[in-house]
Amino acid sequence: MEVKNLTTSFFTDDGIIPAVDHVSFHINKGEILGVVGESGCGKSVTSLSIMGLVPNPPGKIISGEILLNGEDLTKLPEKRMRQIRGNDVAMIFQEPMTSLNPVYTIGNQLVEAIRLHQKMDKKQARNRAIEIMKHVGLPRAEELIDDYPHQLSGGMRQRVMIAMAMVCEPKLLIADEPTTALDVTIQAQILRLMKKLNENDQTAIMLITHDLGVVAEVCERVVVMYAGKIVEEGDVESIYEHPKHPYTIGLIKSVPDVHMKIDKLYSIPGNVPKPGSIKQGCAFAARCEFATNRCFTETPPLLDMGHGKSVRCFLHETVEDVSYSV
Amino acid sequence: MVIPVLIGMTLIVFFILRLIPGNPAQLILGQRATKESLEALTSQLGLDQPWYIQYFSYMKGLFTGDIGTSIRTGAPISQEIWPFFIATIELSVVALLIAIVIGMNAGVISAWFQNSWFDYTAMVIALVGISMPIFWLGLMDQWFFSIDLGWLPSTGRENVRDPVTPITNFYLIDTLIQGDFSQLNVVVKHLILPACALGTISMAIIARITRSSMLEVMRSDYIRTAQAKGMRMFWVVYKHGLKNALIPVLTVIGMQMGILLGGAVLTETIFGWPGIGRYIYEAINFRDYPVIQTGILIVAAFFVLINLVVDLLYAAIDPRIKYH
Repeated sequence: MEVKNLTTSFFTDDGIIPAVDHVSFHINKGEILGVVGESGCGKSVTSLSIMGLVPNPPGKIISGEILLNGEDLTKLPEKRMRQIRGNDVAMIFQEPMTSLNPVYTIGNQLVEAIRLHQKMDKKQARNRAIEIMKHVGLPRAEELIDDYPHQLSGGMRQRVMIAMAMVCEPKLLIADEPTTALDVTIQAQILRLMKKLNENDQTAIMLITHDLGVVAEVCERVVVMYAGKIVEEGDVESIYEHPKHPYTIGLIKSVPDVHMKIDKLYSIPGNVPKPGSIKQGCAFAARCEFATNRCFTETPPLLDMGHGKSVRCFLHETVEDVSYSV
Repeated sequence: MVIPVLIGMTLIVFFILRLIPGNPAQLILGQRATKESLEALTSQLGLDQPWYIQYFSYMKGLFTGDIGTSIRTGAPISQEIWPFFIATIELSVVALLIAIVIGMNAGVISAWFQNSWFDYTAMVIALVGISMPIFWLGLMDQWFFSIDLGWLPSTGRENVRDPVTPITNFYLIDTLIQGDFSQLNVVVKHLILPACALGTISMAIIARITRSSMLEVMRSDYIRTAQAKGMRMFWVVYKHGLKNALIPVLTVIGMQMGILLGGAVLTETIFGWPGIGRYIYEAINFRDYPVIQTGILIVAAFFVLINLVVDLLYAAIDPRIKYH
């Protein structure tokens, strides 16, 4: 899947706010791509744009292409888009507690997902549902299938969500902060499950998170987003070992290290700017310790650093900087 | 819960009735009745007894299944009241069905297409519907549909020259059982105007409650989940949305049923509908204490029963609600 120059804006009373601003990236077959950034940086809107589920009004895809096997999702009629949703591209959400419908059984919701895309009678679909529930590691699947969501724990619900997403064997699974609302031990289990599904079924995963630890654990490549723009892209090792954008450096520094006893945890000074509030210059300039006058007046381009890496910062424009970073 | 509520109800009705000035014996015998005959009738009716004796004999009757005898006609209330009560139930149920089908759908579609022209139009109509006095609406309906256009009969429940043979007293059911479709047609025509007039306020209330409840539900995560499955928006709204939005709507429907039963008096008067509202109204004019007491008690019991059913329906709709 390839996203080219995607811009999704929200039309509000305060003006047009580009939540996603000329974003381009790609996900290879069977790959896990991490999308990292603080809240409000446009990660979720990017994923909703891919699904064609941006709340409209006020949101709308202004420009760009989302190519899935050569088909541009932004131009598809709603009917074709419905065939793709849940079948080719599936999504799981942050809140397993509220993402399942409380008044229908797990089985009802799983069977529904199956029968929307596959020709099966109720019995076959139910068997398939039990099978997929076992596949995602849910115990006692035969009994659990007739339970209601409120009878399950958060971790189990997220497994049900994953089962529901995987039921039609999608080519791409978008996971929007799938572990944020869960306990740390459950987080690890869910991540391991996603990694397993990725390896067994060759499903590409777009993992959206603000947790760099999660990214390090499962992802191959990372896209770092800030204020609706991609600021850095590259494979996991190089981003961890040699982060280039000051924002990425800040993010990595703010992950606490158990080997170092410190009094105060590091945090990037300032706050994420309100979307649309920065009219010119680099969106991160106000919080950046390396910022120069130029950063406040000119918007830095996304510089190609070779080896699939790119960064949006003037610091790396000069030849010396490139050699330093490689 | 049900029994204490109903006993409290009998107490209130019993005392309020006796606070109303007027003597049943006087009303039966007329202005020129002699003192002796008045006293004789009063004691025959048991109205010369102290209030607690009267109340206890009334309660004793209730618990033994005797709901009393009409002072005015001398007939047992149990025989008299049934057709009136059923007539009101039939009218209220049809009115409520119209209100539910139209009101709920209007509310759902308004929430689905929030801020669309449909939403604005439906909500303006709903606001007008809530504010409209029912007697005025009834009179306008009669004037327009029966006098002006001549489409529908203005009063009554049946063609008086060719009455329906009652079996259950639900005329819709009776004519169906008898397979008499021309009679059914007549009965339906008589029902339309009063049912629409009676159902208007409920329809407006149901539409508004459904809309606000749906608007909240449509913002939920599970709605997004259903959309992400690739489901048609129609089914997302009606399967995943509506069932979750139903609890407050159901509460209102239950209350509206009670209000329709009790509030049918006006409609029944305007449309000459032989229902319990009119039956009680006439009983009040004659200070027919037993009829008033029993009539109100039956309506109250029905109201309590409906609320019980609504409570049970909550649990059927939402698996998180359980009664022990």
